[in-house]
Amino acid sequence: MKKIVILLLAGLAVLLVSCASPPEQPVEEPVQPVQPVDTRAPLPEKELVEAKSLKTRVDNNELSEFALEDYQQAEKSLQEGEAAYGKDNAAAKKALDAAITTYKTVISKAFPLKTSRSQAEVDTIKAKAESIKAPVAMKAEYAAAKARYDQAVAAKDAGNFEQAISLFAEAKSLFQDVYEKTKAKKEAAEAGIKSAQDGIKDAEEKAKAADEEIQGGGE
Amino acid sequence: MNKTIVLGLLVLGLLFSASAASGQSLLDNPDYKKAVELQRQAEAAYTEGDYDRAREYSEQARIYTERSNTYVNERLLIYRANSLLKRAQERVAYFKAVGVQPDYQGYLDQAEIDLAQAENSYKAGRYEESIEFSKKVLAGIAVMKTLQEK
Repeated sequence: MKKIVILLLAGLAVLLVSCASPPEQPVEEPVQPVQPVDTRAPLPEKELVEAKSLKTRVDNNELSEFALEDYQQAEKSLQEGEAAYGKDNAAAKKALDAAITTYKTVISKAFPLKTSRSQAEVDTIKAKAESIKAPVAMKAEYAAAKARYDQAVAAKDAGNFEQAISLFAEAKSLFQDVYEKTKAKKEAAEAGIKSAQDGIKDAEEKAKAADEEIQGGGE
Repeated sequence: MNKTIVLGLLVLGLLFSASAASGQSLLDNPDYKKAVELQRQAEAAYTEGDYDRAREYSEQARIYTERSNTYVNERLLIYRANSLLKRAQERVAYFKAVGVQPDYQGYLDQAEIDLAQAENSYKAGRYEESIEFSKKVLAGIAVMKTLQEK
């Protein structure tokens, strides 16, 4: 009986201890789980080189403005790829592949647009030169500029946009030169004609005065 | 007086008279016509866009205009020299014909000398010089009095 009482008291004590409020514990920050690094995927070196090469091509040709959204997306993907490079190679490859695809989209969209704009710029200065009769005034120089223009158009039609843009730029420079020189010649001719016209008018007035003196019998 | 000079002066005088009478303009000269034609060509070349040629034509037009001016000035100078010489000759001839008072004989003698100079200068094509001598003759004669004058 005595043993039973002891056991009951012990059980009661345990019960009391278990029901009491626990002391306040300091709140611990949850520990972030560490991302698992994919060490099995190889470094996407080839993809990085290609993405950077495409970016250089796009930037050097100033294509971004012609496909801005695509360009921004490609830039973002490239940055993500570079950030993950060496840390999470699988993610880096995925981002770089996306950058490559989007830069290619930029190139395919922008080159025809930029080529058309280059041609339009040349067309403007070409028309200005023709409006002041450059094909006559600067025959050889105009022909040279026109030949370059025709080459550019042929390159464009063949889909060689970079070459077309370069040739259009040359043609533009040549036509600009032709225009300015023609304009200078035109102005010189106008000045010469006016001077001669003034001279003839003056001569007519002098002769008329002399005629009047002679026919009037004056001195 | 040298007969040749007199004859030459008469011919020139007739030519001037004929020209004046016919109303022929001094602009009716080859240089002026050429200048006008070149100017027309310059304008045509300009219209075509051949600005270099336009400038060349207008420059030539300017040269021919200068030649025309030279011609007109020369004809006017000849006319003036001729007119003054004729007047000087007439005045001298008149005073020689009617005679001058003795006090003015020296003036008449000087006028005859100046007249000869005027004629020689005219003949030599030195028209400005001829004009000066003719004016000198007329200035000297202006003070003379004939025998009839009191």
